[in-house]
Amino acid sequence: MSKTRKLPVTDVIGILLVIVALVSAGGLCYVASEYTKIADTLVSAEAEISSFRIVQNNATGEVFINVMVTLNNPSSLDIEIYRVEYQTYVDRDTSTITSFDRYIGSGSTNDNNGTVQGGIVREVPVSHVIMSDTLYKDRLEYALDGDDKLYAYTGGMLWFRLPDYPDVESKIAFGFFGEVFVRYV
Amino acid sequence: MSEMFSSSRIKLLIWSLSAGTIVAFFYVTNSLSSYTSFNPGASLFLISPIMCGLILGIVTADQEAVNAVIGTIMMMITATILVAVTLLSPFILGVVIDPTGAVVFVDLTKEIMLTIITVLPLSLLGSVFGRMFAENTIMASTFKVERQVLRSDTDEWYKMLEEKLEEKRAALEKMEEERRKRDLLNIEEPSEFQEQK
Repeated sequence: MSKTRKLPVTDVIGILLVIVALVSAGGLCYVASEYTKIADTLVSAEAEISSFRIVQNNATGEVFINVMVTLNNPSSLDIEIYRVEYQTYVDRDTSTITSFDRYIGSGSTNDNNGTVQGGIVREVPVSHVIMSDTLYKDRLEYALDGDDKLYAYTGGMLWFRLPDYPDVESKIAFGFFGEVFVRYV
Repeated sequence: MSEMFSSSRIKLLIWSLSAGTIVAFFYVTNSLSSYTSFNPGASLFLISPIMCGLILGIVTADQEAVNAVIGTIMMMITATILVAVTLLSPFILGVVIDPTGAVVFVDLTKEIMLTIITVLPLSLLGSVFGRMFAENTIMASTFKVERQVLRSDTDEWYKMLEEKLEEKRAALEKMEEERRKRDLLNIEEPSEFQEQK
């Protein structure tokens, strides 16, 4: 008789425990799906240099290095680019191109790079200027070796965050190496 | 076989799995707080095993004490498995091909070790308190009286058994002594018989 009085109390608590567990299981599924979506975005986002140009102004002697970084976001979440940075090295040939005495400068851009929506490709222009009569201009002249052709290496990073999850940040490396022709204007 | 799948054991299994799921949910939301819009707070990370252990202790109050311990162990195993599965969900769902790729975002080993280390002692502590609480408040007074009567009956039965054993032992000793005396008489008898012959 006493057992019939006691059991329902523990059973009711047990049933409530099971109900809370079912809600928690739903929560776990939700967290797992969100985490997977974010992981997909972080893994699938790609950055590459779509265009690399060296332009010299004959009138002023200034050299403009224009780099176009393309970000491909195939995931369903938006990406906000908040910094792009690169370093450029030039040389006559490829043997010592990454040594520090071939460095001719770096370019960067901080905010206002916009948000790249899911499934969209976006280009970010970054550039820097080499003034005439500088060490970097001399290195560029050395690499040109009297003609309009040189070998260039550019490596950089693109930092981004997810607007929907402000604490999640990541970065993607990009690079370019090849023969470049200098344009004179 | 039927004893193995008794209703109390099935209940214990369901309650342990449920408690483990609840604990895993709070652990995962705490470790993936940056990755979810829902964050119940870091304090629940430690409170949840104690609370679930407490409830497990209450619901297993009518069972043997060892069941509460088994329940907390099953709860820890369930929580650990669910935490691991959730943290490896990008790999399980095929988003990340390399399993170490998923570990880049969250330290999987650390999270699993943390779950094992914290869940078992905290839930065990909670279940002890839950059991104590249930025995003092939830369990019906008639049940307590019944248990007291049963305990005194058992004590009495043990006393009776002891007395019976004492009596039996005394009787056996007495019988042994009589047998020894008879044996002595039997040994003497044949020698007399030979002399007569």
